[in-house]
Amino acid sequence: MRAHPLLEPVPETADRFRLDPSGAMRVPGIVFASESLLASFEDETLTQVANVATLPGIVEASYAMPDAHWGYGFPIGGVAATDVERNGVISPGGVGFDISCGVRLLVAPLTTDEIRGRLPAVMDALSAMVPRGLGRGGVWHLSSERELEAVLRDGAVAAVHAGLGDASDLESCEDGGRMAGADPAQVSERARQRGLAQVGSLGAGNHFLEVQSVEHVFDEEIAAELGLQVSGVCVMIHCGSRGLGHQICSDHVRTMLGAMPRYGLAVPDPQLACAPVRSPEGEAYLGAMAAAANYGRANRQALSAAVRRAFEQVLGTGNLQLAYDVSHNIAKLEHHAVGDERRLLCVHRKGATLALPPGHEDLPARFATTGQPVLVPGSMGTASHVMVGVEGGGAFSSTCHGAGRSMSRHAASRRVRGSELRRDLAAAGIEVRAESDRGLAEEAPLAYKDVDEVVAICERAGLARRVARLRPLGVVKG
Amino acid sequence: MTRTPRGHRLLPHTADCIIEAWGPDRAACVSEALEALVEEFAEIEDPPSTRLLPLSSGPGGAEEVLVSVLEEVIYTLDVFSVIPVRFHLCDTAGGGVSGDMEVIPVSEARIV
Repeated sequence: MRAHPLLEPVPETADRFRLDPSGAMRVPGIVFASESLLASFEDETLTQVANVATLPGIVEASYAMPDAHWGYGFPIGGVAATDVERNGVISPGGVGFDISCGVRLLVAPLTTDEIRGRLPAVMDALSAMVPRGLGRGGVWHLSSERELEAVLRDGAVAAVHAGLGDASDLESCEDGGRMAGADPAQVSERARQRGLAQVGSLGAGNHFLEVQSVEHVFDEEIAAELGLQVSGVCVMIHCGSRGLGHQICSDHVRTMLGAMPRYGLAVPDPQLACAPVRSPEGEAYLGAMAAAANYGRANRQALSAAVRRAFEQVLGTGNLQLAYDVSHNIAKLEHHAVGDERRLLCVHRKGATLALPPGHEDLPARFATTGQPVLVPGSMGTASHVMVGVEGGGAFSSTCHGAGRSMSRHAASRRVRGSELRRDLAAAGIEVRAESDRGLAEEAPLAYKDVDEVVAICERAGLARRVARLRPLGVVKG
Repeated sequence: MTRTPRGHRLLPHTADCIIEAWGPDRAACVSEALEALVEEFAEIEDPPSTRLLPLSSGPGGAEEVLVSVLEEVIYTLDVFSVIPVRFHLCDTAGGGVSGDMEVIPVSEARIV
C-alpha cells in the first residue's frame, strides 16, 4: 500500500505502469516494471519520478527503468527529456554527481578453461595495477595542466594519443570516445585539482572491475560481432569521473539554485536545480558536463591499458579487444519525434543507458546493423548482461543501467558479514580482491534487484534485447 | 529515545545514506555532521599524531553552511589525501562556522 493514492501507478501493460499527472506534474510518470518488481519500488522513488515530471519543458513522460531506485532529486534509473527550443531546462541532478559513470567491456582471446588455473595470478596482477578507493592515484600520471586540458577536451582520444590504447578502441566507444561541446573553461579550479591525480582509477562504492565468462548467448550473430562466444573471457570496467565530476555537479547545482529565481523557475526539490538549456547557466553546465564526460571516458581508457598489461604479464597476451564503452549518467542533445514533430531534446539519463536502434545515424559503423551495445553490470557476484538497442525502443531509446539497489548500504552491511560473503564468493569460484569486509558487505547481491529480471523486463517492454549473459570469475572492488 | 546534547547517526538511503546530526549550537551540530560523514567511509582508532588544517564556511543559512564544510572535507580528501579525525569549530557572525580540523593521511585510516 502506497503512502499516497497518487503514488499508485496504473498498469498500461504487464511491464509498463503509469503515474497520472497530478499537482504540478506536466507529464505522466512511466515506470517499466513487472507488478512484483513494482511492489518493491520505494514510495520515495515514485515521488521522485513525479517530481521530475514537473520540470519546465519536459516532454512525453518522466521515465523510470526497472532498476530505478531512490536517488537525490532524480531517481537513479530515470530518464527525462526537455524541449530545448521551448524553454526546456537542463538539471545537473538529472545526470548525477558521477558524471559519465559508465561501463566498458573488453574481450580477451581466451576461453574460461584457459584462464581458470591462472585466475588467482590474474586477479593479483589486476589488484596491483588498478588504483582504487578514496583519494589520489591513477594509472595515468598527468604531467601538466595542459594534459588535463586535453583529457577534458578529447576524452578517450587523449588517452590513446598518450599511448594508453589503440586508435581502433575509439571505434567501439560512444561518440568515438570524445563527447563534443566540452568547454574546459567551465570546469572550476577545484574540480581540476581533484581530477589531476585520479585519471585511471576505479574510485569506491559500487565501482568495480570484473573478469567474466560468457555463460549464455541469446543472439549468436550480434554476439559474434562483439567478439563474444560461450565460455569466452571478458573484462568489465564500471567507473566514472571521480572527484572532478562530483565537483562540477556541486558547482553547477549551486549556480543554478542562485539563477532559478531570475528565470522564474521553482522545483519541488533543491536537487532538481535547473536552468533553461539555452541560458548562460545551462550552456556552462553542458560544457562542463561534456568535459567531465570526457574525463570519465579517458579514465576507463586508461584503466583498459592497465588491464592489458596485467593480462600480458600473467597470460602472455594483452590483446583484449574493446567491445564497447557507454556512459549511463549523462545528458545529451538529441533529435526525437514528439507527436508529429521532430524536436531537439535534452535527454537526461541518470542511471539509464542510451540504446540506439540498428541503422541510427549516430551509431559507430561497426554497429550499424546490430544496434548499439548496452552494457548492464549486475551486482557483485551475479551475472551481467550485454543488450542492444531495438527499433521503436521507448523512453527516447533508453534502457536500464544495472541491477539497481533495493537496499541501502547500511542495511546491507547489517544483514551480511563481509567475511562470510567473501567465503561464499570463493566457494562459488569467484576470486575477490576487496580492501575491506564492510565495503564488500555493502555491495552484497541481496542489496540489489535481480538483474536477470531487470533485463527481461526491458526486453519485454521493447526497450532493448538481450545478447549475452556474463558471469563473474573475479572481482576487483572499488 | 533520550538524546544526548550533541550527537549524530546515519540513516539508510538507497543511493547512499542520510546523516542526522544535532547540537546546542550550529558549530557543534555541523561538527557532528562532519564526524558522521567521515564515519561513513573510514574507521579511525586513536591516531598517534595529527596535523591541523583550517576549516571554515562563509556566512549563510544553515543548509548553505553545512554543504560548504561537507564539500570542503571531501575536497581535502581528494586533493591532499588526508582524513579529518576531529573538528574544532565555533559559530561566527552571519551564521557561518570557523576553526580547524585534525587530519591524518588516508594511508593511516581504515577505509570501509
